[in-house]
Amino acid sequence: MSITKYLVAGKTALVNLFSKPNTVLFPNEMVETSEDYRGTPVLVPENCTLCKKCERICPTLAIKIEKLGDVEHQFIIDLGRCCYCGECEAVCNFDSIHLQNVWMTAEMDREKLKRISTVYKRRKK
Amino acid sequence: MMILRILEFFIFPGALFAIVLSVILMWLVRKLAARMENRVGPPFLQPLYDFAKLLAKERVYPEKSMRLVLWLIPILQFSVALTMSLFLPIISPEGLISFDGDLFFFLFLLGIHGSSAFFLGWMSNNPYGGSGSGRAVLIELSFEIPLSLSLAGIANVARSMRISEITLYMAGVFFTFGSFGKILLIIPWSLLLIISLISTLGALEYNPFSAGHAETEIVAGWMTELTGPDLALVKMSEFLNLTNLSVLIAALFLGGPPVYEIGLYTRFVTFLVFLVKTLLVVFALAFIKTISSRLRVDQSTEGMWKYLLPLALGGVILILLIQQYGGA
Ligand code: SF4
Ligand code: SF4
Repeated sequence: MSITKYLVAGKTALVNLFSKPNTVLFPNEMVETSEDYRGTPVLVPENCTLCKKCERICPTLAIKIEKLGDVEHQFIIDLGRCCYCGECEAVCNFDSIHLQNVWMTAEMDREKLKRISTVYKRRKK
Repeated sequence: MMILRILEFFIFPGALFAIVLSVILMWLVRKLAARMENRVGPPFLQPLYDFAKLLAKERVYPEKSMRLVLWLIPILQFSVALTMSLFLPIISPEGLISFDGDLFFFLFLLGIHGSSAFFLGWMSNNPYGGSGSGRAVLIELSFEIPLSLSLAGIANVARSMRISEITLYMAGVFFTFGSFGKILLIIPWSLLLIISLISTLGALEYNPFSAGHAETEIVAGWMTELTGPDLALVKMSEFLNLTNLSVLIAALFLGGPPVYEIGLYTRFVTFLVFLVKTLLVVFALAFIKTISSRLRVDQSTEGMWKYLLPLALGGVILILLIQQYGGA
């Protein structure tokens, strides 16, 4: 309750008033994240060999690989289940799944959280 | 002529203008506080969005609460705050309503506004509401007297109890530092200004006197059970009160809108000067609000009764002495 504390607080307040704020106006601007931030896992369909290693290791069963046709497969990453552990990225030998620094994933509908991509099985040479 | 008068009451500088000004001032207070705390703060007109959102929400009443009171008191608070805004000198030293002794009628309305919070919390049948309203009324009781005393001191300087006459006198006093006594008056003037600023913080339930709605402890205090339009009206009357008190202090202590005769632009310049003075007061309020932290209710009442009240009394007595012997 000493007066010097109030003086210090007042000085800090005035300095803050003319300096750049620490926060941003959220929906319009976002805080930048670092390069190796573990955000949503994103598949690179061209590299994937459908070995299903990631599907087996995923602790939350977020990855599902379904066969559609002879060569056509559906690769589903359910962000509603994913816990961003990074296991899938670590286990993939073909560098085909990456955790990117995208973190705005909110949706109104649970189904929309499923990121679906189509992968074609490559013929054996 | 009649229509013009009605327009004055309802649009400018009456009700509508008061509401617009309050929303802007409220935004300013929040923005300034945020910037001083190193945050970005709300976007422009955020208080208006809040108000509109609350208006569209449903009313929910707790069981065994007195619905009539919960429904009526927000309306009472809003109308009292709106009535108070009609007394304010905005484009001329004379408010829309002006009569001898209107200063104390204004304070009376402020008292009604403050004490009605007690019934809101009490009737809402909620422990948070109950303790919040008790605290609010304690703080109300303690700031009211220093505030009235400091305004009485200023009324004494101008030897009038009419807001317009005090405003005119204070606007002129800066140019007529004639006698030694008048210069001496600066001491009690600044003392009373600080006291009334601090009491205003109490009236608006800002830090450090925000024990009445200490969020971390008693949720929203006496506002806990208010919902939808009721809460919107209470919030709007809070915004209006910010305008009322800051404009009143700007008028009584800084001279409010003076009358400079510059032909066509007289009214415009008057209005501009009024705005600058009001903004100064609002800045001071936001500044004190930011740098202080919330006091316990016993600390704030103790501070007000032990220090603020004697200081205010001392200020008034000093003014009387200077007037008697200093020839002011
Ligand atoms: S993403 Fe990698 S680990 Fe998963 S199926 Fe494709 S190749 Fe295998
Ligand atoms: S990051 Fe973890 S939880 Fe998410 S899909 Fe990959 S393995 Fe599954």
